[in-house]
Amino acid sequence: MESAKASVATVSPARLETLIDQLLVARERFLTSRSLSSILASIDSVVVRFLDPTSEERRAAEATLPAETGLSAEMVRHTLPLIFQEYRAEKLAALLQNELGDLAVLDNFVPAAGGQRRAYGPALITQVLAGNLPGVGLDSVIFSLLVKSAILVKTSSSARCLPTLFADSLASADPQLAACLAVVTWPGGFAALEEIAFARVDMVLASGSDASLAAIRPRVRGKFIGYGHKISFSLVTKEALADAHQLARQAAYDAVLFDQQGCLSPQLIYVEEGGAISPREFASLLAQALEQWEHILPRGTVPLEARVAIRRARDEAEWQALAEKDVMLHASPEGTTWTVIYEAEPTFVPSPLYRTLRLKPLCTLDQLVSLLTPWRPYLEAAGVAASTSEDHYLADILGQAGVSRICPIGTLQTPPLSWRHGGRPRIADLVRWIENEEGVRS
Amino acid sequence: MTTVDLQVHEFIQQPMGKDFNVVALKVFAQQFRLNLPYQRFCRARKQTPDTVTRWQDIPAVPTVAFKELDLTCGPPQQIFLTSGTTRGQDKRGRHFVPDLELYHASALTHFSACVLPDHRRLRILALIPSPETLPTSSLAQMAAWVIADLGGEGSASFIDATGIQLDAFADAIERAQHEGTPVCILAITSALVAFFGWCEARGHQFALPGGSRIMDTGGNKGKGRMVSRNGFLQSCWKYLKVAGYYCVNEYGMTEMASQFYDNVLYNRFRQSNEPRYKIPPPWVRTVVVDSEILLEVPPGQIGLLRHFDLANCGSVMAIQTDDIGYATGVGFELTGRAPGAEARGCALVLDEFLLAQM
Repeated sequence: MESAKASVATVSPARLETLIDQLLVARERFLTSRSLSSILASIDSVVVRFLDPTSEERRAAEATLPAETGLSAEMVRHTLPLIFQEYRAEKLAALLQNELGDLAVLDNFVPAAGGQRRAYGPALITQVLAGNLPGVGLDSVIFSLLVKSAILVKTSSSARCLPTLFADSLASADPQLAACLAVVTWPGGFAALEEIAFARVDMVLASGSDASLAAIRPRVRGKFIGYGHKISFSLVTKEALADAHQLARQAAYDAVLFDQQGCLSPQLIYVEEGGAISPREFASLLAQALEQWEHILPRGTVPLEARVAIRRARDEAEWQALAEKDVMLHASPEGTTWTVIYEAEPTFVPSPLYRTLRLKPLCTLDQLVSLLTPWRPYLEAAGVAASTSEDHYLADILGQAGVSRICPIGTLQTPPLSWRHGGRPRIADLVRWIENEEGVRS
Repeated sequence: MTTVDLQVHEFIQQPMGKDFNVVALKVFAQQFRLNLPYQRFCRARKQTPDTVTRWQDIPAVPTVAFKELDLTCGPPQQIFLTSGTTRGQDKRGRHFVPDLELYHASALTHFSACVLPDHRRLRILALIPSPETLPTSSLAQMAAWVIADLGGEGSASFIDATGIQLDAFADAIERAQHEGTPVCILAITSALVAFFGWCEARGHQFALPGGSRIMDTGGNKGKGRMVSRNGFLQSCWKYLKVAGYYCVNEYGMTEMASQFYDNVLYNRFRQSNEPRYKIPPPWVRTVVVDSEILLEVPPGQIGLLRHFDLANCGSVMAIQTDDIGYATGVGFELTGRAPGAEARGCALVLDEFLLAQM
């Protein structure tokens, strides 16, 4: 496979119209009558290649993604298998089963309460991607093909990202299926192109800031699903502090993956008081763990604004400590590589990212309710370390607060495929149903 | 005034033949002795008057520190506050000034050099609040001093408690044009941009007499329309007939007694052809440091600005800012945010949350 392929194509309006025509035709010819099991098999063959460290695909991804994403080579190498292992056929099948009730509904009518039913994906989906973290966007590409929709992916830059690499590999494994997928780019706000991309499709999926989603939504003729920016956090109860060293390693791992850029990255960690060690002491352990992780999974490149923001957060902490507030700063010995700010003031606050964590003590878990309330529209996941007896109680508080996923600390960034991103079912959201009552009444 | 304060005052009045390093180290020693939070900061860094021999090594205090602690060498004659930010709950930085005389001397000396290099006494029209309107604003104080000491007949401020008096300002402009009296406009950039909007809406354009000049400051900090620097200069010509080389931008901050100005007018009267950049007064040094390791970078390379201001004798001399720029010539240029830096992932950042609250 040619890994020296050029960057993602920038299209003209005429070219985009043609591309869409081609996608629709390809879908009609190659996808609508194809069995789900054969689609699963093709996708699985590509996934298997990406999981094989010796394959061309995998080596190409490891070679190009660090420069394109800004993540270190070690980070890319570490996360590629984590991403692709979720896309194995049995997991995809399980998700389809879970969300649609019966895999067969995508191929034909199956018996249902009122007669028979069947599910159809849209003819064409446009997906608008912001940013370039590996893994982002690949879900929707795979899900679209599974529900037999063609998909047009618009990336945020011409950099070769994972959807492009996936498309390339699919083209060699299964050209007919690959003909139903196109990855293009254009400068944001190019009205003529966006008009075409949003008007000729039945559905638009978009990720990005609230502002960019708000700009897209009114221009979409069909269905719109937006994934805005989110914030996640970690929570440690006092019982869990019995194994503080291990916990610190896991909590740090959550913040280290993808350099804390993802919606699942914890920006803040609450630690309950009254455990085997104090929240202040846990902050020191967390700092040590971040230092250790830097040697295994080094941080990638960091934009100037982020470094300025990290410096500012550090300066504030240092001077609050000098003003004898209950604040303690742990800073990496070199540069802005990692930062832990212990502060007694419990207000929920985002961090400058790139491995900057705030750690705040909690007197009681009840405090979480009022602390999380202002952030409700933005909460994504909570990584939790708690005793089983507290599970239900915590799950209830967190669920009410707006969290869409609760998981053990250390697993925040590796969600199962079944995770309802943004609280919504990913596959079920794509399909429409038809009920056929004919022949039932007599 | 202490002995050291007097030495700084003399330096401001006559820098020739004096050694910046010598005075700087004396200021450092005084601040270490009298400004106790600063002393703690320096001890924590193990950089004290005993160990520091070069002004570049004097520990620099970040601007956020002025929000957390009272950094002063003595009881203040005046306290200036940073402007409230969009963050609402953020505390405001406080600059304690034990001796207003130093502030006065540094502000007027460098203003004269950069905005009035031809030593004219001009009518000053200020789109800056008077100190009566905003007593905690150091900019308001500075403008008032300029008007009192350097302004000609008819000088006035056009922002009061009810807001920007654009009609009155326009009247004053018209009067100056009619009389053939050149003026010096001092303005908060966004206030002057508002005036340009006022002109556009009414189809007015003025032509100020030759020798008129504009000093603007404060950038476009989140108020009203954003205007590029070139767009701003074009508007100065279109609505006032003041050419670019008579438009001097000022960069300063509440935490610092001294200010920096564009070199354009200063250079014009010296027949010097340098490109536009900011020049410090002789009693200030600016160093650009790398954002990651905080060590000085070579000229032309982007970094964070760190200022060493002798006139800050009463508080903290060495200030580390968040302002981004590069060293050039005898000064520096500000570049602001790096362009086109896109969000890499889907994590929410604070600015988005705050925007949603507004």
